Amino acid sequence: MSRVRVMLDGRESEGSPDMTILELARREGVEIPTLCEHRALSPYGSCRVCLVEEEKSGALVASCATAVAPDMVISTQSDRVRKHREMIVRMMLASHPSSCPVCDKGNRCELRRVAADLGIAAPRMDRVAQPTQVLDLNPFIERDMSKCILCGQCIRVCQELVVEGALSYRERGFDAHAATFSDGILGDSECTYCGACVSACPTGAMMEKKRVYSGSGDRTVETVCPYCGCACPIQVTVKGDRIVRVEPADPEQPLCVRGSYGLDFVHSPDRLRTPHIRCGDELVPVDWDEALAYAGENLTRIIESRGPDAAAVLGSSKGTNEENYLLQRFARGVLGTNNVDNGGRLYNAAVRVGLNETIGVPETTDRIGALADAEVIVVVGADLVNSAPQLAYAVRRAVKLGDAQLILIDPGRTRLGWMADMWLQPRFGTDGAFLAAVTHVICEENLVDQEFVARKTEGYQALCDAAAEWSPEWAEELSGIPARHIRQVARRYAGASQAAIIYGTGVTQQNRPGEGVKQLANLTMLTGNLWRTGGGLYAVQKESNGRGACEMGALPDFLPGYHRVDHRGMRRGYEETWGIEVSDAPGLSALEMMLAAERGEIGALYVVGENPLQNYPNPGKMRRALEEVDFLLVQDLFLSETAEMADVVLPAASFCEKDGTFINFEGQIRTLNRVLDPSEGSLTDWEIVLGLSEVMGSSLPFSSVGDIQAEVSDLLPEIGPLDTGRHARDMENGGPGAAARRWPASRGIARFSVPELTLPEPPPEEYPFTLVVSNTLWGQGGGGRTGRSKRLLEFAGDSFVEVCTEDAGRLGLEQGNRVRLVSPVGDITVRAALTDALPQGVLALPAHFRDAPATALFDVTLDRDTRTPMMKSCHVRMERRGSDEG
Amino acid sequence: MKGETGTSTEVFRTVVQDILDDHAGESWPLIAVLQEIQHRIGYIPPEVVPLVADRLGIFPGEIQGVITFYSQLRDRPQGRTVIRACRGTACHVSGGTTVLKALQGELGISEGESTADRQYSLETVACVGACGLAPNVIVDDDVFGTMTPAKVRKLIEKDGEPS
Amino acid sequence: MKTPHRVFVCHETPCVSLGAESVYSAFREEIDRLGLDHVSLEISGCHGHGLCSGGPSVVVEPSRFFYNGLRPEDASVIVREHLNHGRPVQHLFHRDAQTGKSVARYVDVDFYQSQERVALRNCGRINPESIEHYIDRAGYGALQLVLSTMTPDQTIDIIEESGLRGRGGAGFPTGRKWRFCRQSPGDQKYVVCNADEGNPGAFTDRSVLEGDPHAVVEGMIIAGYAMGASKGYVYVRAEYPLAVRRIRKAIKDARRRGFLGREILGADFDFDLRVKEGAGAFVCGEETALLQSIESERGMPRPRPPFPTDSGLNGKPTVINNVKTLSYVPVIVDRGAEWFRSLGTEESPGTAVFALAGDIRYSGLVEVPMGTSLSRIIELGGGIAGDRKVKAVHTGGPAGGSVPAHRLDTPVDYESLQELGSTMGSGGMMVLNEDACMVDIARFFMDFARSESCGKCAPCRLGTKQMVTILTRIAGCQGVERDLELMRDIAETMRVGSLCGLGQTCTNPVMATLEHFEEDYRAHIHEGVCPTGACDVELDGSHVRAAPY
Ligand SMILES: Nc1nc2c(c(=O)[nH]1)N[C@H]1C(S)=C(S)[C@@H](COP(=O)(O)OP(=O)(O)OC[C@H]3O[C@@H](n4cnc5c(=O)[nH]c(N)nc54)[C@H](O)[C@@H]3O)O[C@H]1N2
Ligand SMILES: Nc1nc2c(c(=O)[nH]1)N[C@H]1C(S)=C(S)[C@@H](COP(=O)(O)OP(=O)(O)OC[C@H]3O[C@@H](n4cnc5c(=O)[nH]c(N)nc54)[C@H](O)[C@@H]3O)O[C@H]1N2
Ligand SMILES: Cc1cc2nc3c(=O)[nH]c(=O)nc-3n(C[C@H](O)[C@H](O)[C@H](O)COP(=O)(O)O)c2cc1C
Ligand code: SF4
Ligand code: SF4
Ligand code: SF4
Ligand code: SF4
Ligand code: SF4
Ligand code: FES
Ligand code: FES
Ligand SMILES: [Mo]
Repeated sequence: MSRVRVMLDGRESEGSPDMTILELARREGVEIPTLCEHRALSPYGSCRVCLVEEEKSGALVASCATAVAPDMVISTQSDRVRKHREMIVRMMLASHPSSCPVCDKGNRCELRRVAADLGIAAPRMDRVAQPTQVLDLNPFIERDMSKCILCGQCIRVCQELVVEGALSYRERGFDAHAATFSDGILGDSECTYCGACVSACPTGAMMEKKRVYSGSGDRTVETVCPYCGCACPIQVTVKGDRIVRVEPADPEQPLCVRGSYGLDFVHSPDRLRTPHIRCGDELVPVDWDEALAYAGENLTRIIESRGPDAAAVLGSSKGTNEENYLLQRFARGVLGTNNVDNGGRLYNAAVRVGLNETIGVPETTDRIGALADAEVIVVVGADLVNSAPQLAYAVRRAVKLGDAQLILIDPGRTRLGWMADMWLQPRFGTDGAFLAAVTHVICEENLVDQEFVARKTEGYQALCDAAAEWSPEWAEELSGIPARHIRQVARRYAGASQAAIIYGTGVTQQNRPGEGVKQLANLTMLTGNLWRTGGGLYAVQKESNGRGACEMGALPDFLPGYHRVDHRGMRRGYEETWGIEVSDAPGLSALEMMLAAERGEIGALYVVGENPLQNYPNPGKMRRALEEVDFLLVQDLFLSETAEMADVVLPAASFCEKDGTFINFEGQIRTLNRVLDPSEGSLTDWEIVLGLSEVMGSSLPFSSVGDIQAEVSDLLPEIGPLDTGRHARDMENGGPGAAARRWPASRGIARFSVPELTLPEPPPEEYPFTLVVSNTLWGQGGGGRTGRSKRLLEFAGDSFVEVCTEDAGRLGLEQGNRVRLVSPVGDITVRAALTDALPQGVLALPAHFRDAPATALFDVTLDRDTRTPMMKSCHVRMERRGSDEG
Repeated sequence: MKGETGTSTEVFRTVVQDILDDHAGESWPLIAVLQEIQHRIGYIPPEVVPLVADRLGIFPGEIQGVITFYSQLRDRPQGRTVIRACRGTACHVSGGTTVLKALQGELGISEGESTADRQYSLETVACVGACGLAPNVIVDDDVFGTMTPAKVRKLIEKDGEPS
Repeated sequence: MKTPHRVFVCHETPCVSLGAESVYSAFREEIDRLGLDHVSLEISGCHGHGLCSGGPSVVVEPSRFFYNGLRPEDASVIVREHLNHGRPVQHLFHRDAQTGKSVARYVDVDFYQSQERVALRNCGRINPESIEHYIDRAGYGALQLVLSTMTPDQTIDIIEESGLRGRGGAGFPTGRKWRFCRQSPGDQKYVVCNADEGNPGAFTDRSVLEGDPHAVVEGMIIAGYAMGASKGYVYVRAEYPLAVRRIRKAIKDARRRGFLGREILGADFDFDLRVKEGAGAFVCGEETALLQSIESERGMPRPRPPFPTDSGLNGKPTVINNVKTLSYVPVIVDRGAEWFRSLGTEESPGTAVFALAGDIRYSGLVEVPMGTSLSRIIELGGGIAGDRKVKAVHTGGPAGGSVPAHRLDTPVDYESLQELGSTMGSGGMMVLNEDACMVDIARFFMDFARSESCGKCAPCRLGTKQMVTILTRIAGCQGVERDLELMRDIAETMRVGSLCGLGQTCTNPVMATLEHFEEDYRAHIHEGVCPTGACDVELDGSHVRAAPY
C-alpha cells in the first residue's frame, strides 16, 4: 500500500490512503475530540466536533470521515477549528439540560468532557429543549432523550453491529430522534438488552439502570465474560468491592445481556463464605485448613484402600485453562487416575469424536470474523441468538450488510428465522437422513470440488458409493423435509464459493451425534469449504472455556493438546515432565462416572464447578449415584443442589476474582484479570487444588498462575504461551485459528467417513409430545449463576414451557396455565407460554430453570461413541393443572 | 378502499402481499412499495409494516424511519379530501401565509391534521411548479391558483356540497 | 387539399389548472364534428413560457399562431374560423401586457425574442408523449452519431470541450465528472438523472421532463455509453405526477424503438433506465442523499469523499446529473462544442433557464444566454407589476441570496452571482418589490431549511433551529443587536461545518440579506416594527430570549 505524507500540526507524518485523518492523529498521539465516531462502524460524520483544518484549501473537514491525502497540511487546533467546534458544542448544550451535577454519566460523559476541554461554561444562546425521558420499564436500560445529541451511535450499533434493529431514526431535522418501531419503550421492541447502545452512547441519554446513584468507578479492569463460548472480552468497572458497570472491552465485540447486566451473581448473598464439612445431616462451617486436611485425608484413604480408579474428578468448562490443566494433572499425578472429565462432555464430545475421525481438527475451524466473507451460512440445530450472541451478530451482519444467504435447519423457528432464505424443519433427530441426502445430491450432480477432494482428502469413493442410496425422496420420508428443498440446499451450499456451517446441540446432543458431525465434516470436504475463509465448520456448543478445558486435557481419554492416553509416544513427554506414569487406560467420562458411582464403584468424587444433580439427566438416578459415593467433594461458588449432598464443600472464587485464560470456541485465547479479591472466605479453584495436593503430600510444583502457564507452554508449544498473542501468531503461521495448528490427529489429509444412519424411535402413544430443551437469553446452563443475577431473574424467573397455539387450542390451554410435563422418568410443573415458532406436537423448555429442571424428564441414554447422554429432546405427555395445584 | 375505516387487517395484508409480489426481484423496492400501499390503502398502516419488513429483510423500525422521513408518506389515514397549501417561495411572497391561515381557520385544523369527520386533511407542499399562479392551493390533484382568503371560503363551501 | 395543421394545447401544470383539459376536449369535439382530417390535435409541454399565468395557451402550427387565456367556448370559434376557413381569430390572440396589443404569432412575442431556446428547444413544439415527434425533430440523431462514430472517450471530449457545467446548482464541469466516473474502476456503473427539483420556486426541470422527456432519455443513454454504464435511474419528485408519467412513457417508447435495452442500435452497448420516485424530501436533491433514497433508505447524506463517481449506487461508480444538464447533451453532440461555447460566457457557456416568479408581469420560464443581466431578464418578464419598484431579485432558492436593486446589472453566471452571495441554484428567480421585508424572506428560507434538514449532522440540525428561533424573534420585534452577530457566527459554523450542501448553503439567504439589507433587520430591532408589515408572527413565551448571552 502506498504511503501518504502529510503535515500534521506542523510535524511531518506518514499514513496510508485507507487511513482517516483521525486514525493518523491518534497514532501520532494527537487528540481530536469525537462524539459520533465508533471504531467498529463505517465513518459517519454527524457530530462534526472532530473538524480539522486543511490549511492549503482552508477547508474544514471531519477528520473521522476524511481519508488522508498526499500533501495535506492539517491543523487540529487552529483558531478556526476551535471556534467552530465551540459553536457546535454550544448549540448542543443549548438543547441539553444543565444537569451535569446530578447526571449519572458523570465524568464518563464525552459531551461534558469535550465542552470542558473547549472551555465552554454556558451555551450563550436560546435554549431549545428536546423531548425528555422515555419511561422504559426494564431492569437494564434507561433513556433520557433530552440529553441526546443525535450522534446516531445507538442506532448504528443496533442496526449494524448487533443487527437487532430495535432502534432506528425517526422523523427528520430537529425532530429526528432514535426510536423503537412504535416510538415507545424498549420493552415493546426487538431489544435484547445487549447494552451495545448504552456503551456506545457518548452522553447520559442511554444509561444502564441502577437503583442508587453509583457515581464513577474507582478502577476499570479488563477480563472475560464467563458465560457462553464466545468468551467476550469485557471491561469491568468497580467501586469499592462492587462491580458497577460492565462494558465490551473491544467495541467491535458487543456483549449480550448476560455479559452486560448478568454478572451481579458474584455479589449474590448466596455465595459460600466458608468451607463446610458434613456432620450427619448437616453441613457445618469450618476453616480452610481443617476442610482441606479433612478432604485430603479422605481422598488418600480411598485411593489407598480402593485403588486410584475408585476416585474420579469432574472438572469444569467454566474454569480457566490453568485450573483445568492443574485439575487433570492432580487427577493423573496425585490421585493416579484417568477418571477426569469436564462438563463439556455433555455437548462437545461429539465434536471431538466426529472431527478427529474426519478432518483431524477437533474444534471450530475458523474465527467469527471470517463469516463476513461467507456467501452461504447453514445453521443446523443451534439457537445462536440465545446461545452464542456474538456469533449471531456476525451471522446477521453477513446476511444483512453483506451478501450471505442464510439456511436454517431447525424444527423450531429461532430468532434468526426472519432473515433466513430457507428454513427447513426436520423431525427431531433425523438430521442424519437429511444430511445424507444432501451428500447424495452433491455427489450425484457432481457439485464436488474435485481438486480439493483429490489433493486433500481420502475415502471419497466409498462415501460416494454409499451416498448413492440416500435419495432425497428417501430422506423426505424420514425427515419430513421435501426432497426438492434438500436438492436446493445442496445446490446452494455447494454452489457458493464460500459456505460456512454452524451447528449446535441440535446435532451434538441428539441421536448419534458423532455421526451427525462426521456428515457435516464430509460436506465441507466435498465442497472444498473446509479451510476456506468464509467456509469452515463452527461448533456453537461451548461454555466460556469448554474448548480450553478439553485442550488442557480435562478428559478421560486425552492428555493436554489432545494427546491420547493410550498412545505411548504421546504420553511420554507428560510422564517425563510430571515424573509419574500415566495409566494407558482411558478413564471414565462424566456420565460413566455417575453410572459407576451408582454401581458403587466410585469411592471419591471431586466435583469442581459442575452441578450434575441439576444438569445431568435423570436427577433421581444422579441422586442415588451421589448417595453411593463414599466421599463427595464439591467446589463451587454456591451451595448447589450437588453441593448440598457433599461431604466437604469448598467455596470457590468467581471468574472475576482470579487470573488466568480461556480459549473461546473460535480458539482465541482470552485473558482473565483479577478484578476483585476473592469474595469473603473463598479461594480460587487453582489455589484449592494446590492446597489439596499439598495436604496429600504430593505438592505440585506451582505457586502462581504464571508457573502453570509456563509448564503448559513447554509441553504444548503449538498452543504457545497462554496469552492473547495466539491469534496473531496463527495468522503469521499462514492461517487462522485451528487450521494452522498442528493437531495430533491431523495428517494434513482429511478422511471421509461413511456415517451410520440410525433413526430415532417414534413417540410412544402415551407420550405424544416431543419436548426440546431450549435456551433463553436470560439463563445459562442450569441457572447456577444467572439464577442468582437479580436483574436477569426479572426475566428468567418464572419457569415456562412453550406450546404452539394449535396444540394449546386443542387442549384448551391459555397463556400462563399451569401444565404438568410427564416422561417415563419424571415430571415437572411449569406454566404454558403460547408461541407461533414451534411446529405442532413440539414443546420447548428452557434448560435454566432451577425449579423445573428439564433434566428431570430425561433418562440416561449414552451414545456408544461419544459416551454422551442424548438430552436435546425426549417424549412427554402434557397435563393441564388447576391453578391452585402445585 | 382509500381512506376507509374499519377495513380489516386481513384485507390490508392481502393488498400488501400483492404489492410485494409485484416488486419481487426489484432492487431497493421499499419506497415504491410504500407508495403503492399508500396509494391503495390511503396510508401505511403500522400493522402491515412488519410484513413488509419480513419480506424485504429490513427492520420494521427502519421502515418507520423511512416513512417518517419523507413528507409524502403517512402512517395515519387522511381525510377524504386532501387540501395542500403551497409553501413555495412564489406563493409565500404573494400571500401564501394568509391563504394557509385562512385554510386553517376555515377547517379548524392545522397542517398535518384532519378534521374530526375525516372530510379534510390539511397539508403543505413545497412548490408544485405553478408559481406563475401563486399563491396556489391543491385540492386532491387539482391546482387552484391565485388564491385569496375569500376564494378559500368559496372553495371549501363548494367542495362541501354533495355533488 | 388543405395545409395540414397541428394544434398544440399546453398540458403543463399551470395550464391544466386553468382549464386546459376542457379546452382540449372542446377542440376535439369541434374538430370531430366538422370532420377536419387535415388537423391533428396534440397536447404539448409549455409554450407560454413566461405567460403561464395567462393560460391555457394553444399554438397552431405551422405558422405558430398563439392563442392564450382560452375558454372552452373559444375553441369552437378557433376550429371553425382558423382551422376550417383559414381565418385566424384575432381577438383571442395573446395580448402583450404592457402595450395591450394583440400578438398573432409566437415568435412575435417580445418575451421570446431575446431567448435562446436550447434546453427548451422542443418544449411546446412537440407532443412530449410521442417519440415520433421527437424523432422528427432530429431526436436520437445524436445517439446514433455517438454510437456509430465515436468512442466513449471522444464523447466525453466533446462534452468537456463544450464547457458544459452542471445545471443542478454547483456548476461542476460535466465532462470532467464523466471522465472521473469513466476512469473509476468498477464492473457496474450507473447514470442518475437528478429530477428532484425540490427547490421551492423552481420548475425548470419539470418543464423539460413534461415537455421534452426524450431529450433527457437520450442524454442519459449517451452518458451511459461515455461512462461504460449499463443502468440508469431517473430520480423524480413524486409531486410531479405528470413528469413521472411522461418520463415513464418516454422510457417505454425508447425501449420499444431499440434506443434502450440490449445492443442499442446494433452497437455493443447495453443500457436501460428505470424511474424512482422521490417521496417528498428536499435534501434528496443532494447527491448522496439522492443515492440513499434510490436505495430506499432515509435520505441522509453521507460524507464525501468518496464521491459518487467512485462509490455511488450500490457502492459503484455513478454519475449524477441534473435534468437540464442531460438535455443539453444531445444538442451539443449534434451541433458541436464550438457552437455551445458561442453561447454564454467564457466561464459559463451555454444558456441559463430560470423560473421567473414573484412580482413580475409574466412569470414562467425564460432561457437566455449565460451572462445576460438580471435587469434584462426582468424586462423580458414584462417588468414588475403595477407601479412598484424592484427591491431585490432572489436567485438560487434556499441556497441562494437576494441581489439588491442597484446590482441588477449583474450578469447571470456561476461566478458573478456567487460574488454577491447568491447562486445560480437550479433556476429559481424571484423578483421582490418594495413590499417585501428581507427579514421575512430570510426567515422564510431558513424555516424551509429547518423543515427540510435531515437532522443527521449537528450544525445543521441545531443551527437551522437556532436561526429560525432568532429570526422569528427579530421578525416579532423582540430581537437585540447582539442577535445579528450570533446569527453570523452560527451561519459561519453551519457553512464550514455541516455535512452536506443543505446545511452549508442554507445560511446564504440570511447572510446575503444581512449584507445587503441590514437596515431591514435594524428596523425591527431598534424601531420595533416591520417596515413593510410583511412579517406576520405572533410570538409566544418560547421566543422571548431567555438565555443570558
Ligand atoms: N443463553 C444461553 N446461552 C448458552 C447456554 C445457556 O444455557 N443459555 N449454554 C451454553 C452451552 S453450555 C451450550 S452447550 C450452548 C448450546 O447452544 P445451542 O446448541 O444453540 O443450544 P439450544 O439453544 O438448545 O439450541 C438447539 C437448537 O437445536 C434445535 N434442535 C433440537 N433438536 C434438533 C434436531 O434434531 N435437529 C435439528 N436440526 N435441530 C434441532 C432446537 O430447536 C434449537 O433451536 O449454548 C451456550 N450458550
Ligand atoms: N435436558 C437437558 N439438560 C441439559 C442440557 C440440555 O440441553 N438438555 N444442556 C446441558 C449442557 S449443554 C450443559 S453445558 C449443562 C450445563 O450444566 P452446568 O455446567 O452444570 O451448569 P451451570 O449451572 O451453568 O454451572 C454449574 C456450577 O458451576 C458453578 N461455577 C460457575 N463458575 C465457577 C467457577 O469458576 N468455579 C467453580 N468451582 N464453580 C463455578 C456454578 O455455581 C454452578 O453451580 O447443562 C446440561 N443440561
Ligand atoms: C440540498 C440540496 C438540494 C439539491 N437539489 C437539487 C435538485 O433538486 N436538482 C438538482 O439537479 N441538483 C440538486 N442539488 C445539486 C446536486 O447535489 C448535484 O450537485 C447535481 O445534481 C449534480 O448535477 P449537475 O452536475 O448536472 O449539476 C442539490 C444539492 C443540495 C445540497
Ligand atoms: S449527559 Fe453529560 S453533559 Fe449531559 S447532563 Fe449528563 S454529564 Fe452533563
Ligand atoms: S441516545 Fe446517545 S448514542 Fe443515541 S443518538 Fe443520542 S447521544 Fe447518540
Ligand atoms: S440494547 Fe442492544 S438490542 Fe437493545 S436497543 Fe440497544 S443495541 Fe439494540
Ligand atoms: S454470554 Fe457470551 S455473548 Fe454474551 S457477553 Fe458473555 S461471552 Fe459474550
Ligand atoms: S447539513 Fe443538514 S441536511 Fe445535510 S446532512 Fe447535515 S443535517 Fe442533514
Ligand atoms: S467524530 Fe467525526 S463527525 Fe463526529
Ligand atoms: S411556489 Fe407555490 S407553486 Fe411554486
Ligand atoms: Mo453446554
